[in-house]
Amino acid sequence: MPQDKSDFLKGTLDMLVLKVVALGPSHGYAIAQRLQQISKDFFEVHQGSLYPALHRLEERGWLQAEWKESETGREAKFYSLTKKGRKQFEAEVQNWERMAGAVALILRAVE
Amino acid sequence: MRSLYRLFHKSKSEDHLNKELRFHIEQQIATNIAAGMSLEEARRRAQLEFGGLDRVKEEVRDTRWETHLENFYHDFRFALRALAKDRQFTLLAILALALGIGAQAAVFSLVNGILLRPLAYRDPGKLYAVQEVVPQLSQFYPVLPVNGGHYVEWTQLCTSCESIALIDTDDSSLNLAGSGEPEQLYGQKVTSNYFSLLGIAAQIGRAFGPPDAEAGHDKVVVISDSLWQRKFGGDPNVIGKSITLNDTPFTVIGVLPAWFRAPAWQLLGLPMKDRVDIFQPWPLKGIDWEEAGDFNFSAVLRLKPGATPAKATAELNVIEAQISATLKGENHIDLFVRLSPLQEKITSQERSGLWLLLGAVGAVLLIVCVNLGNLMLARALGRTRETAVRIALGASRSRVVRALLLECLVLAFAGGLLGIALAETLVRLLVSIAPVNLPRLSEVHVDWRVLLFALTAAIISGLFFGVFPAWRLTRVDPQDAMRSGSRGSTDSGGAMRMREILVSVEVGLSCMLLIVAGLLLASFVRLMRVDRGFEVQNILTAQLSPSGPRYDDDVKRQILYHDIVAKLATEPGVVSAGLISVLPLNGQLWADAISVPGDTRPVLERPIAAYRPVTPDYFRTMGIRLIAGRTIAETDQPRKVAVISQHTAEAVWPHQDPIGKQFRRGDPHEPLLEIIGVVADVRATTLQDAPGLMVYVPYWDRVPWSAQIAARAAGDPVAIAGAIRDAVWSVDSQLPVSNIETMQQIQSKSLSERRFQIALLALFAGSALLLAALGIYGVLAFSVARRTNEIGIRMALGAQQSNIVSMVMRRGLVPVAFGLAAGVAGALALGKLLSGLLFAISPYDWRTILAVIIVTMLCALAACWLPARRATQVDPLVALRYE
Repeated sequence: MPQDKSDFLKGTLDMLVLKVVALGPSHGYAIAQRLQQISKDFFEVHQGSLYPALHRLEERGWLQAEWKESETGREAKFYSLTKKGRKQFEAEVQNWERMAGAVALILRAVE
Repeated sequence: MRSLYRLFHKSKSEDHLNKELRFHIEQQIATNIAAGMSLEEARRRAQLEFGGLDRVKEEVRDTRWETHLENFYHDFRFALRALAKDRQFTLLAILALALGIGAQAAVFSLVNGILLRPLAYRDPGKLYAVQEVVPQLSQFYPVLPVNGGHYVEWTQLCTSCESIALIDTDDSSLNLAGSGEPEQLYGQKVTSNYFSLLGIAAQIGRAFGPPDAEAGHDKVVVISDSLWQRKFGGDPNVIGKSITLNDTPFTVIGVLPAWFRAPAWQLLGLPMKDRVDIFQPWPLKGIDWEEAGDFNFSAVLRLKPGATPAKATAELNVIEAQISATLKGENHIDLFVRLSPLQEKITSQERSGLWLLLGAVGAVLLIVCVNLGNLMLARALGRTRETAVRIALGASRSRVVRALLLECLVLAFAGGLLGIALAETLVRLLVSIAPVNLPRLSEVHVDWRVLLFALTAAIISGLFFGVFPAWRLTRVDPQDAMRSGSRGSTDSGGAMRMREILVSVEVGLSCMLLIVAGLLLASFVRLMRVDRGFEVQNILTAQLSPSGPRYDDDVKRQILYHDIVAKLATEPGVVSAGLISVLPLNGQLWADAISVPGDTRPVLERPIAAYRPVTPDYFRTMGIRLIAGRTIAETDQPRKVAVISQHTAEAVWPHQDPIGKQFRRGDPHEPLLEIIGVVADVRATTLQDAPGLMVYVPYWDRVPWSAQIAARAAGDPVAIAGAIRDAVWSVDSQLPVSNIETMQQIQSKSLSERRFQIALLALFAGSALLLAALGIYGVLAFSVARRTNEIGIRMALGAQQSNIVSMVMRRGLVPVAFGLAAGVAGALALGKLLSGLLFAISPYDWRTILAVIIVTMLCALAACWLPARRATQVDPLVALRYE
């Protein structure tokens, strides 16, 4: 069971990361902050677990990365969305909405 | 490319990762300080929120493909180290696998070379053997060879056929005159399109072409490579040379490639030869195919591109129906053709036997794997703690399983490679002991298919025996394993059950093999004991083929045969001598109807018997019992007399005394024959076929073109070989004497295929039983060793030795019993498949099954007894001190 949950989370995390990066190139720390803000701390994950996800998405070619100077003047690794990543993101959002819609429908119908 | 770069600049990518993560944490610290925390507190909180740094790094690394490569490399080295540590086990496993896979590959080379590899002719899939089917004769001959007249019609009218070649295998012995002893060669007459149909070109000179079909231009021959080497020393100037065959000169026009084998199949139960020394062209023009009822030849057909065998069959059947319509009255028969793919036709006899052998050797390999699976399971259990530590330290379960499977695959690969090396030797061994009449034997060798097969077998074996311990490992609970002390106090139930199932599997497989081998062996014994009707001891035989202009007259051959037999009977050491057209177990040549006066049925519906011309002393020489009347005497000449077999007497003249009765051979034009005696039935063609109808006629009534001499010796039959040669050459010094062999050898040759099958099967079944016994012993010994302190406690609490023995034995024998039941069920299920290979025994023969059960049980008892005894020798004190 716990494995299922983490798999589920992993998939969701990927989608959220893509969403955040889609707003513009940003480094890991900024993405983590953004995620926490947006979700109002709903996802109680360690910030560290963001990095395997980032690297996985980069390995798949959905994100690309470059080292740039950050707002504080230090060099940081900035991630941005590739064309392939954008397509993937749209597909995942669609999927998600379809599933959420279906689940909502069932819940309502059973009531 | 970037990834490849990373593989070789690992430290750089590590640096980048460190830098990226450090940036994150430092940003967080800065934020925390800005929120008013102390430096200490800010750092602590930042690290807490980030989580385990090393774990994150590990997970990031896991996302890269080169990490997998690296893990694989580490796992591989780990596997090698683990195997090297356990040298004894490793050597044993590799050796067992090598033998198993080697044997499997060797038997597969037989299957591959004989059944699977396409024939070595041009586009062999388009080649078909043609046979004729006559419903009126199907009772005796389900299929027949081909009639020459019909063949001529086909070649003119079949539009789906690219070409059809006709082969005459009947009149096939050629006497080659020249320096030294006269030699008899095996030759075939073939239509001039034969070689182009097969797509065979001569290695020097040329093969036949259309001009060779013209009458007058047909005194040419194409010779085999082996004859060329043997007789002409491989001299290329042989082309254009003249050789004398049957006293007629022929010009050599070509030498065939060394690898060429003529397509050969069973013709009316007789194998055609595939090693032909000489081919003669066969001009069909001007031949009068007198009797439409003669079916004497073989035919090979090549389909046109795009044509189907069904269409060709339909076309040929239309032609057959037209021919049949011209046959009126008594001679009327219906005609059909049957096309069979050439390859299938050539190998059909061997199919089931070879697949059975492959199955048997496969079962042995399976048992090897089961044993190895058991050993690996034992090792895995011994390493439970090590595994638990690895899992606790963060190795994923899949990684642990992968490492173990890798270990098995390494073993399997090593075993497979060694097995392939062995296979070459084993194949040579197999071919050397294989019966010579196995078709395509010369094409059996290790090729890429065999290699692929062996490698696949190795990988499947590796996965197979790796699955059990791997499955076991996935259930290791690190906490449990760590807690349960250094040895694991008792074997856990699941693993033990699995090992017992494995024992059942191997006992079942070996029991099945033993039953199959036992049934075949019983068949063989019965075949040896069958009432042959003739004797095989003290008899030497030889073949004579007087032909050519000097012997084209019946009277000349009759005098020759008479003189040779008369001379031979007076030679020292010879008790008696006789002559017959075809000796028992050497085939069937001439069959015809028995027409009793007053029988109004059409000729073809009358009983059909084999006719064999004999000299008077043949029966005495062969020890064929006289049942009624008398045998032929020289003084009967020139009367038309006949001796019939007992079965013929009962079938044609039931409840009558046949002596003095008369009958005709075939149609009404033949003269009447008078029956003077009845002799015992003989197994004339093979030992397994029940005797058919048999009529012996005097040799002067029909003087055979070739004949076989039988001479009974006073002592060792081989000693009178010289006497046979002397007797023949004193009559005609130019006549070759061939195939000098004892009757015992002829019988042994007729059984060689069975003997080969049984020898291999017995070997496989024996190995299977031995391996199964080892498996039982191994599992039980292991279980006793692991339960030492349990047994110690039981003994300390007062258990008797007999209690302990029965406890251990029960543990060992229960899976054996299950295995036996499954094995017997399996053998029963195989019954239908087997029945074609058996003789005079039911595939469900309870005595064989019972014997196998007893033998297996005894072996199992022995295998259980040793560990049981060891268990009784456990010293309770020592056992308990272990804790």
